[in-house]
Amino acid sequence: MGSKLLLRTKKTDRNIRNILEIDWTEYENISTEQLKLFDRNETKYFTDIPNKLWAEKSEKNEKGTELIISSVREIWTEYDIDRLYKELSKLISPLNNLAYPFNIVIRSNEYESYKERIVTSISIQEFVSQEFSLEYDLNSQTQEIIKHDKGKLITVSREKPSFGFIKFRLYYFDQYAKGKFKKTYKGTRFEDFIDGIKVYRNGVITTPFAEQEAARDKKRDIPGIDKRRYSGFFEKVSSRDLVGIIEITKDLNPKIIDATARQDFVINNEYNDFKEFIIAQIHELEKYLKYRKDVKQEKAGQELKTATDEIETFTERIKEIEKKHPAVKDDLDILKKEARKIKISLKKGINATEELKKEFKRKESLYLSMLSLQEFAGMLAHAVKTKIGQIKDRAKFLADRFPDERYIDKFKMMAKNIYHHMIGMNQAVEYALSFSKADTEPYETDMKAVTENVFEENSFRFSQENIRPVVEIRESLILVIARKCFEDILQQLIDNSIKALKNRENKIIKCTGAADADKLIIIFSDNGIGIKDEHKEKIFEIYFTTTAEEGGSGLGLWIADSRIKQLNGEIILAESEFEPTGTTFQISLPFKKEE
Amino acid sequence: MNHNIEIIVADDNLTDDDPLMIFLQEEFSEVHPFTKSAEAWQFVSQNLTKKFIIVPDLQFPKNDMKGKEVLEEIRKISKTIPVIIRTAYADQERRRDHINYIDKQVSAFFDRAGSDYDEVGEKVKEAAALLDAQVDWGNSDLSVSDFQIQSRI
Repeated sequence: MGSKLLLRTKKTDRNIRNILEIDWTEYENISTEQLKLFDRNETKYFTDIPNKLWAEKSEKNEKGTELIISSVREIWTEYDIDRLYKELSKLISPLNNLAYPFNIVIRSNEYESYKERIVTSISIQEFVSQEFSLEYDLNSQTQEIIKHDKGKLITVSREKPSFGFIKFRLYYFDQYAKGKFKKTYKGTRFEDFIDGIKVYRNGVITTPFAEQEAARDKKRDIPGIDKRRYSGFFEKVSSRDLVGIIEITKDLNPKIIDATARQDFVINNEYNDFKEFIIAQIHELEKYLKYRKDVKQEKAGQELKTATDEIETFTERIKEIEKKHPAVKDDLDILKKEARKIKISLKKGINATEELKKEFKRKESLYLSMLSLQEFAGMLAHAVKTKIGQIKDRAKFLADRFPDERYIDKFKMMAKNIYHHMIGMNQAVEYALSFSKADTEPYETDMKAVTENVFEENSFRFSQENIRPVVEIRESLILVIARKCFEDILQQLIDNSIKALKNRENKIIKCTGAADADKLIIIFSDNGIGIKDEHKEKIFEIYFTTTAEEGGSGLGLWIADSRIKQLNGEIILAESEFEPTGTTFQISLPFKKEE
Repeated sequence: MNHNIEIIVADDNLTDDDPLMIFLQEEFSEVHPFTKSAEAWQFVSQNLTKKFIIVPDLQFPKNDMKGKEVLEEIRKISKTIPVIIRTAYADQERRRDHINYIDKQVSAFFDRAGSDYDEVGEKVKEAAALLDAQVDWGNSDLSVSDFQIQSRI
């Protein structure tokens, strides 16, 4: 709005008016300086600048608070005031239970509609497609929550949450409701009013902000809705589909620390529970929406099938009529032809629907694993960059210093290392290429068959190296994953084991697998030389190798690890089943995609 | 050759032919390479009477201290030890945590692939000159503001 704020406030019956001045021009100068300098002993932080606070004498009957903004950067248009109105209208909770009630008034000489205007909230009830109101009961010490129960959303009472009791109004807008709302408010200040959940403390809004959060399904903006994508996709609800009003109070929720004082904001357990509570409510809504959609789809599919049966009956009837009245055969033939056409179209329709369903499922899995692809790209870029840095430094040193005799040995070492780094980098790039070509779309994969197949493909190498392969996958288990990913994992582990088995006796590579609750557990072992304790933490790191001399690039286990992550799984180094030597990896792959 | 100041290079992939190491060994009589960051930190904390410049990487294996942790520990005991970071994660880290690095008074921040070993080396020399000048302000016309955060991404 502007760079300088003057806040004047005065209580009735007092003859002093308090004034606070915040001069942002000073802040702005300092923050720019700060990003430049490295030594901050001499420089203040922009938050170190004191605000000026003073008192002035005033008339006794005066009362209220005024905010005067100056050093305005641009002249305010009516649109700007519209935006201000919109933001101000969110300031006070629509449930309105202010401890110190106040009105907000906008006065503008230039614009007729803002000559003197009290800011009010809008009524959204008439547009919403779902609406919930969750209350609490101090007598029984219970809090209401939403629960999905076979196509119905009900409220049930639960014990007191750790963060205290809250009031929660949740309004959901489906595409139709949103369309209607938008049409009504298009071009007005309320046009994008549907924008998520707001938390009010004693009636006044708290400031939400996004947090740094590494875990994917925890990435939400305060207080908990997925803001990034998926609005209307995969039954995910985003902040563009909701208006939520949460009422907290100083007395009932003392542990939810105000988010307005950002620098002092502490994420405590109660706050986390609060966030999770909200996410859980939205999740129940998502479950309900998914149920409804599934039912609708099921019904549409049934109707198509019923229609096919009806056409069948229709054709039978015509045949009967034909028998009774051979004279009308020609006319009936036309009808029969039409019926056949309709039947074919219906069948096509049914097939296309089935195909679409499958495709949708595949796409859903793919989209939901998108972030791990992003992370993967980041990892790969980092891998290549590390190598480039090492190669470049050595090449530059050679160019700068060759043939300085003091460094003859180092020159040789550098040349050799450059060569090794190039091979490593090349392998990383090859891997990226294979990734781009490979069929990474997830589909139903028989894990037993794939495992046996990979071992079969390596049988020639096993016999050459005198290795006895053992594969024991107990049942035929179908997982929806990218087959190529899984093959890569096994291949890398096999390569790794073959190296570890060099110069050993009675060589064994063993792979067993079994289902466990919601995941497939694969135990992969060899009785090779094993992994030294000091290397155990590093084995999955890129370029970590103990076999550089034999051409080991340090990529194998890293690839295996990154592939497993791509499948939302995990690989850990377990205790060797061939103690005292040998190596055992335990891989777990979830059956279900992440929700 | 500088005999007053000792240089600590902490990088888990450090090898004997690292050009930065050679560069620093030409300029400083004491250059200590560490492939484990916790050992580097231990060395610094046990020799607090010495003057150090520290050149750490950020990424270390799981069981070791992260470069950021080393930085935090150092800043708990001293605000003046220069820390010059050389990392392949420069881009990512700066985007994520720029203010923290300013706050922790990192002297310079070099991207592994985007910078040359001698640039890093020169920055270490500059920091050394500044550190020397802190003893005897009269001999130097360098001031803190001559020394700015480097970004080469």
